[in-house]
Amino acid sequence: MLSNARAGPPPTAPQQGWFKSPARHHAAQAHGRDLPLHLIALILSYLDDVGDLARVTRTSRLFYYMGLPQLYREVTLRSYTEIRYIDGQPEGYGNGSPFAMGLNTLVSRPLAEYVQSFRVVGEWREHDVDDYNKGRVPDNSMMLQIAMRAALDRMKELKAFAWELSTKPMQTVYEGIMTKPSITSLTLRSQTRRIPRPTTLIPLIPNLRTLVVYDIDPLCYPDDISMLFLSKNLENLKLHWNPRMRESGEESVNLMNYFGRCIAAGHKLSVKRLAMYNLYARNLGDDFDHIADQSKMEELTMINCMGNSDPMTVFLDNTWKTKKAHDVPYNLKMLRMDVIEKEIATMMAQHYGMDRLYILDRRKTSKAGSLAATPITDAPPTPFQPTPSQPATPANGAPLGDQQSRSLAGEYLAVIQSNHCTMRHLLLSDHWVLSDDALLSLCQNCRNLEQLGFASAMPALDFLRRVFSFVPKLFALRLLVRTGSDLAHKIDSMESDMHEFALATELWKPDYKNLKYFGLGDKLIFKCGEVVYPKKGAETPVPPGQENSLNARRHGPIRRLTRVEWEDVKHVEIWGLDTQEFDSKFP
Amino acid sequence: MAANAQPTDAQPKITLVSSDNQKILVDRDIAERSVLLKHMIQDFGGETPDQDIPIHNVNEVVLKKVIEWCEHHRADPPATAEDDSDNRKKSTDIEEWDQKFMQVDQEMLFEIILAANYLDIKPLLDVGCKTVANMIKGKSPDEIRKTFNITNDFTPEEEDQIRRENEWAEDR
Repeated sequence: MLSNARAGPPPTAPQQGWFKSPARHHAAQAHGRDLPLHLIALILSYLDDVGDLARVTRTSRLFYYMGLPQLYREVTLRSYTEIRYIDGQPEGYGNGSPFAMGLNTLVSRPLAEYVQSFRVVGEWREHDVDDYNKGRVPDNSMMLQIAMRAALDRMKELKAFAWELSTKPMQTVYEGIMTKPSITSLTLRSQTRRIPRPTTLIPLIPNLRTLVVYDIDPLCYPDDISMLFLSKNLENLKLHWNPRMRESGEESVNLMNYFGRCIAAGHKLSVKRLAMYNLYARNLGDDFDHIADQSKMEELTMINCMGNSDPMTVFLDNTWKTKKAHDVPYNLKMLRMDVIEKEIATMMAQHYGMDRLYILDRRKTSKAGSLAATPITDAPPTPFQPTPSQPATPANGAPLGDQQSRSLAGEYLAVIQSNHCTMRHLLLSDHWVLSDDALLSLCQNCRNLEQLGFASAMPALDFLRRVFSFVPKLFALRLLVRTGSDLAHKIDSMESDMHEFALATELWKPDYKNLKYFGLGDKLIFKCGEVVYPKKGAETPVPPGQENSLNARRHGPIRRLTRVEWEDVKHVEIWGLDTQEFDSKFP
Repeated sequence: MAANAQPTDAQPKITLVSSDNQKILVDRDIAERSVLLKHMIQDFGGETPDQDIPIHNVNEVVLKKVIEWCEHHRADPPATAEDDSDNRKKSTDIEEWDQKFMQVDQEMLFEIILAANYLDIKPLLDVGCKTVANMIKGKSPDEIRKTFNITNDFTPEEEDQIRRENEWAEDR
């Protein structure tokens, strides 16, 4: 059916009509038309998993040639310190590891020209580390650099390059990418070992638009990235420091090392998207206030940076606060932060028109190491069980008074409604238990809301319906429930089936017709399907007087709900972005 | 010309003739889900054509199936760029009704894809191709060959070499 280009008939095969593939004879319905090549290409374009693509290319020559360009468009090679076993056999049994064989293919076959994105990830086993102590780079590390350089040199169309191995690239690799005008995206993982090794100044990449550097640790011989900031096209910048410095209050990061060159050259960064993780550094004063052109900034993410609630970091963090007001990012559209501070509300009051705000709660990953480079997925939330009368603890450290938290919540909500009624995505803190009035007012003012996450004392359902009639575009709704709160206990005490049933008999109503996802706490997430109406002349008619009984309601109308996992709703931002885990993908 | 009494209800109707010479009467807006027919109707000066429109490449069974899809989706808003980007993310997500609609034998599935391609009904073509893509997902090369009647024209050595070349892609 999917046609088969080269399958010629064996000499003895009977000629059956126009179709000559011998395989056809097994098929019961040995007729039908072949799909033209462009439709096969379209089908293959819907395979987003490279594993599926790889398997398709092995089925026949036709699919090999059709599938290869797509298979090699984005190449990720993974390296492991241990040999991995599949069905009892080492991966790559009989030849090199998949990493080595992949690199070999890129160097020795003409496939590298298809590559637009090239990523090397994982742990590289460095041998003869002692050589470093003698002042020499060990051969096995050097050979890797050379092989990588050879592969890079063949990639004429390379746009994105990511080096995410546990050892860092060296001059020879940097030179390989420096000469490519096609490169617009660079991702670098810094090493986390303190072995002395050569460091280098990474050369300017003129067309660089996206730069991601992570695991930066000043004590681990990082390369100098300051030249990269001079690229005039730099739009997306994501910097992640090793969380170690914040945890131990070590003031080793000097921003001059990164931005000094820009200041000297009088070059202003004009990034649109900026994301910072675990920044712990001193504000060096006036020069820094003007390092970036704030009017260009559209999206800002700050995770585990600043904030005055941790005694360990407060002194340095406060150097950012005592300075005079920073420029206001007038065009800011998206803000994602894990601190709630008066200064932020004040900043938001000075500009208009944001459309996305995500407030994360730090408690979710207060464990050391969870902010490290390799994200630990499915990490259970740290147990956190204050009784409702205890003051809220928004961050890792000093408690924030109830009163203070409430007044801050009020300030945020007020500024959202006055200046940012354009909001489409809104994820509020789960500490802010909204009153019915606050919720109503929010929805009345922000009518463009598509995704909303908030905490409240379970409002009455007919009230909710009224509220949501103001936000017809809403398709994702999260009721935030703080672990350990009364509401959480109440929800946990019921079976999930009961919740599902209660929701199904409510969400069928036309007011919710655009709703696609409903979350109750972190564990119960439902995908809303179609509405099922009771069958006319059903076999079990509802006895009169029992129209409202459970049994009657079971017959509908009800909304068909499917329980889904967090993974399944990751593409919806109020879930997907509600994490402090670092992800090297950007934007 | 076959005398179809002019439909009296508000929605003007169009007569399509399948490749096996069967006439099918459809509402104009349903027919216009097909870009090919839409353009054809525009060529009539925007008037609802009173002549039969022959669809040479599609037989009655398939044409009816395609019309069934168009009827269900007659009120769909045109796809926006934003939808497209969301679709790329979860590319093989197919809505419930469409999934059921596509539960047909493979012969029919391919016929629908070909018809959607010919009639230029992009959303239906996408749903069809996604359905096929979903049938490929997670299958071994042998299973894929079996499902789609593909003949393996590699020698065992070639196949082994290709497997090694691309083993990096099957890492998870």
